[in-house]
Amino acid sequence: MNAPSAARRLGAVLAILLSTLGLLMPPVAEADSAAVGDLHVAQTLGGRELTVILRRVTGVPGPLHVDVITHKGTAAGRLDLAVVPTGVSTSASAASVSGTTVDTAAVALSGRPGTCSAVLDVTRAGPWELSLSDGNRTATIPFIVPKQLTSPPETAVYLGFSGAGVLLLVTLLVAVRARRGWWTLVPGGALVACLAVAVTGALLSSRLPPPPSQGGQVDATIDGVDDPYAYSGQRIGDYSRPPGTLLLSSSTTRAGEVADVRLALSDASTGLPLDDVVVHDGALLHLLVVGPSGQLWHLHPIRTGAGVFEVPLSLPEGGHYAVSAEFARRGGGVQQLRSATGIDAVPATGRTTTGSRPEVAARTTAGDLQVGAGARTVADVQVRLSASSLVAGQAAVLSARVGDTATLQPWLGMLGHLIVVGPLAPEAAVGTATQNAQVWAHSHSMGAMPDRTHDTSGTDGTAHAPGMGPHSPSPGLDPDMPGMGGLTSVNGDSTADETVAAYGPDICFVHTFPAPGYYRIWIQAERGYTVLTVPYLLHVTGTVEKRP
Amino acid sequence: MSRRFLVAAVVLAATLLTALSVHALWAPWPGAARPASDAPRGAITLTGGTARDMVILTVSAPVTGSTALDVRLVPRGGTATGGPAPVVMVSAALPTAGHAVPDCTAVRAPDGHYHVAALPLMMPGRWQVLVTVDGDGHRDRLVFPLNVPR
Repeated sequence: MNAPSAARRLGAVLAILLSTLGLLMPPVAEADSAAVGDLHVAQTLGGRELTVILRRVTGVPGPLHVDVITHKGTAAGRLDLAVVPTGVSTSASAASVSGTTVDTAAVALSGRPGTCSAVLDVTRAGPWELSLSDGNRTATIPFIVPKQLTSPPETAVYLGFSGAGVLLLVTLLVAVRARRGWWTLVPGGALVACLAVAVTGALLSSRLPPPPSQGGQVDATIDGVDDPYAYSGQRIGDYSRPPGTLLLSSSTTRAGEVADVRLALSDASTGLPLDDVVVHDGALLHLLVVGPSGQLWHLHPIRTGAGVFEVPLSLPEGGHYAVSAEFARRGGGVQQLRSATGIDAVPATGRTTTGSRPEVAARTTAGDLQVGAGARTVADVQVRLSASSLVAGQAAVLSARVGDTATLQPWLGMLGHLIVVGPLAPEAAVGTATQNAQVWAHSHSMGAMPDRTHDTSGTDGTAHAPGMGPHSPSPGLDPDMPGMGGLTSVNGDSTADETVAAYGPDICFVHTFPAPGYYRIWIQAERGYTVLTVPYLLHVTGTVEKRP
Repeated sequence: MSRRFLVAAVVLAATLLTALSVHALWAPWPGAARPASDAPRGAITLTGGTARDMVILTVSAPVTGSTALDVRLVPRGGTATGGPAPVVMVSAALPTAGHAVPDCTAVRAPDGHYHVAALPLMMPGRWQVLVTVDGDGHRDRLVFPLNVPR
């Protein structure tokens, strides 16, 4: 054996070993499907309405950036934050710190609206809880720290093409060095096998269903988040769970006093605490309260226990208050539960008033709300509403211009919220009328409607509000769907938060009123870190008879 | 000699690559979880925790039917408080089907173990084993997701 041939053999062996070593190394590419954007959670903590944003965790162990967005009027103070891993695992070491506080931080709220930030360390992937405390109340927000994953077909693609590349070199080497040509078939066959594996993986990668979402569709575990493919369990078509039941801690309170309203959610089938609420529309739970004079509260109670949510509420006057809650359970599907009792507020004089009394009805609705669309001024912002096709059974288009500049901020992930209750008697106390109303709807707006699909000429008998011209898209945004840029998540990208004041001023809702009659509606939008709530009273006519 | 060496290396590399490819395709579905060393054959051991205890749940037969369960409490810090022993309740629910089983008070055994003789898991699915630890003025509720195969 001469020296050059020994060197060539050594080189070939080294090439094979290096290629094998390369295949043993884990691939660094990550699946798009594993990417998770920021988590926005609105929280009514004490007297503060906060938006807590848990920024995307890109690696564990690593930092979790938490931004707390405050609004105009939010009191200065301090929030104590803590993170607790909550998952279970088949590995005792992986779950050894479950239930214990891993890291803490403090956030100083300055009293000016805007963002305050903190950074906490998370040590591993899996289910966690973030707690926020203002000293009197503690909110807990469940969340998942994801792991960047590569699906099995993608792994096959990486390995297959890597192996094919190496085997191509080996095949060339063998073809040059071997005295008999058929030896080339050995690495050549392996090369074909590798290519077959890679191509098969590539074709399968887009067709194989992903495993059920940990925390979104099934209960998350540490093992499941680490490797959802291994712990996917049976694939079923429907992960949804039964509806819930809403219990209020008390159906009476005293007007003018701050009282903690406690909402207990339970599973309507088993009666067990309903503790699988997931964040939807930027909150764990949306609480809507309608008061006797047409006041609307849209709050986000904090989670204080398994299926228990609490919110402080000060009801300004005696009368009946209708209550509903919106939430989504793990497995999919948003639920709206209307409290069968609502809340009766006892006035300070000690005399209980009910909304059904005529004198109360007259007092609480005394002529402050004209029927129809038009202009209103709320918090020094003029809101102009036009409504077309206010016919039962037909899609009505409600277009609102909030202010005159494109400075709306997304609130709860949307540019506008529309709350609808009715049909109801326009002169009745609103709380009682809402309690008995057949419709209690909640619609959203993601911006203005493109002009070519929306005839705002008011030919259906409802004219534009004075001063409203044709809608124009916000500058720099998609002209086809004005106002939607950055509000929808694409490929797991994070959506715009409330610090982005670049939307509007036009927002549009499309809602089909199912029956004729009078409807109370409230339009909500955020501008200047203030959530504006604008009430209207609309009359929906009966179905238009078609002429023969 | 040199040819044999070359052939052996090539065959070894091809075999290794094929094995790795097969492994990459099939390894992500390893199946069942690992039981504890002292658990019965086929059992699953899941570990969770509260601020006070590490809670180790062993399900003897995680299949459709009745199964025995063992709950072990390991106090944080290594030693239990001097008060009375906690009361451990075990239940289970299948959320997607709306099924629940009656609460069982686990029988206390030495070394922080609590035993339930039979917990009925009447159908396959993703169950929740609910463990409630009541003691020392606190009530902790833990949910152990458990996949019961068909």
